[in-house]
Amino acid sequence: MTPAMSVGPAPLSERFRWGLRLTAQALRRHRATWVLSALGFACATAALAACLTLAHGSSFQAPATGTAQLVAFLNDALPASDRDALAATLRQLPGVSGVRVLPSDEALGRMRAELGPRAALLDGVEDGFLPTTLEIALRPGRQGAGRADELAWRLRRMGGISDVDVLRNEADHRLVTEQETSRHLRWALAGAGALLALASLALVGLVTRRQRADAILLDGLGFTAWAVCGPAFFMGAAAGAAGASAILLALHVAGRLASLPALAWLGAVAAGGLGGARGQAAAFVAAGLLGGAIAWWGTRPPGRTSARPL
Amino acid sequence: MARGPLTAPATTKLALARQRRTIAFVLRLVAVTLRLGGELVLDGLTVEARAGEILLIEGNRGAGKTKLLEVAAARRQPDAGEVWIADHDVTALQRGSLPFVRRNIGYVEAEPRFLSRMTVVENVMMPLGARGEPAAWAREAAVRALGKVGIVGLGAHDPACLSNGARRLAAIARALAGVPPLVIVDEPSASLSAVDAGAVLSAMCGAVEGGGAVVCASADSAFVAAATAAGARRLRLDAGRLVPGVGTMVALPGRRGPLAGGPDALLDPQMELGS
Repeated sequence: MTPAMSVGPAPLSERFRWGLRLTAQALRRHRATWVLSALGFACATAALAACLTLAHGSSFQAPATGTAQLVAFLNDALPASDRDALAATLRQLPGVSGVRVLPSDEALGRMRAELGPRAALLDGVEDGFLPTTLEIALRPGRQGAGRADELAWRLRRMGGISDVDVLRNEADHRLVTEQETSRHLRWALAGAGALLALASLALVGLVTRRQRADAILLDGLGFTAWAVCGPAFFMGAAAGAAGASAILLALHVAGRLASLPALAWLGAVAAGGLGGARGQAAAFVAAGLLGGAIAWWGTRPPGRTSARPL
Repeated sequence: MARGPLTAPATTKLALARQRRTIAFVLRLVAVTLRLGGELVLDGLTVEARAGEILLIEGNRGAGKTKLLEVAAARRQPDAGEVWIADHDVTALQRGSLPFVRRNIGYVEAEPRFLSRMTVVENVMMPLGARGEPAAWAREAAVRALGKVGIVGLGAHDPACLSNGARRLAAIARALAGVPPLVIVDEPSASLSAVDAGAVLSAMCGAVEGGGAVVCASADSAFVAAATAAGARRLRLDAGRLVPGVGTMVALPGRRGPLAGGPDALLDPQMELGS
């Protein structure tokens, strides 16, 4: 009599029990791996939160007093009604403190005044030598200074406007330069954060890969792919979710601490990094799924190719 | 040709899908060819192991013994030929179906590996876990298997802390646990004292008496002599080919596919080719 050969899956209850047993053993035997994985995911989440914070970086910068003014030169053919409508529209834009229509003759008079003793140069100039212009004053502050270029860009593309000048004083120029530098710095830091996140995930992949030998052994003993990779998948998912949760919790605590006057800046940092309830839920789920996927990838049985170990 | 899974398609309910069938378990390799790095390792080998026998494969280093066992244990895919285990050609199975075959094979590789940070008993229990046996029964069977090779006292140790000989004994116990239908052992007496090798041979004989088949490869002349005295059938391998006149297997030209007449054909006396 030959011993019985069992084919087909084992009873569900036994598979479940052995699955739990394998998961518990994986947790016990690879504690350091899972702790490192959770830390890796914490680093990755922190790096991504930092990217988010940096993307909203201007929201917690100190206010400034930069000012800017735009001068839009209107086409001669633009009817007065359209000119007034354009001025009214511009007044409604955020950051615009005032719009003034400067008729051609008034512009000429102002130029004469600015030329002073050399005003005689303008003698004999016919009416309408200078175009009618719109003087647009922006509210002071970094937003206003930064918006001047954007608004000028938009105005240049509108019908009825032949050209736009941006007038800035020295402080405004410095402010714009500072904003450009800040923007580049934010991008650089966000890139570094993204690289740190990728490096952390690569670390998770490497430490999970250490279980490869065990996976190959279990595969050889006749455990199915689910039994081999399932425990690692669940542990990886748990590590990912735990790492992400730790950082989200830390940001929440930071948000609470922001009620203290000295730590008010933390509120903006936390708000930028948290990215709302949906963002937090997405980060939690994504970290869990990513952790599980990486662990599955690290422990999956080898493929079947000719003349190679099965 | 579609490659079907190993699981029997007749039943649909998961609880009923598992079948424990008592069969005349036979391993048969038909015209197996294996190349590694362009070098011919196994050259059209046809070998079979019947239920209730020990098949001993001799050969010098590099003769292809280990690769032959790997192919027979469904660990390595040959370049050509068929590997029949019971009534399944494992070379035609899907990757996902291989575990269902492997769990019926007790395999001891040349360098036994164990799950790290687990005791010897827990490691020996693992094949039974793959078969879905209850944990309590698996532990009992594991202890019994350790007793067969005489290391029941080492059950609570970590395999990493054991000597090479003890690790080999533990691996053999793992292969024998639960009395699998097919046991494949590479160098069963390596690193073992004469007493331990005798215990291993006794355990292998016990598996055969239970109706299983044992295939082992050895270059140890003392072990070969003892196994032959115990009734083992010998085959000699040289440069990937069977040496004629040694053992009982000679391939019959023109006869391919051992299951042309169904699984029962494996027990057909006509299949005993040559002598």
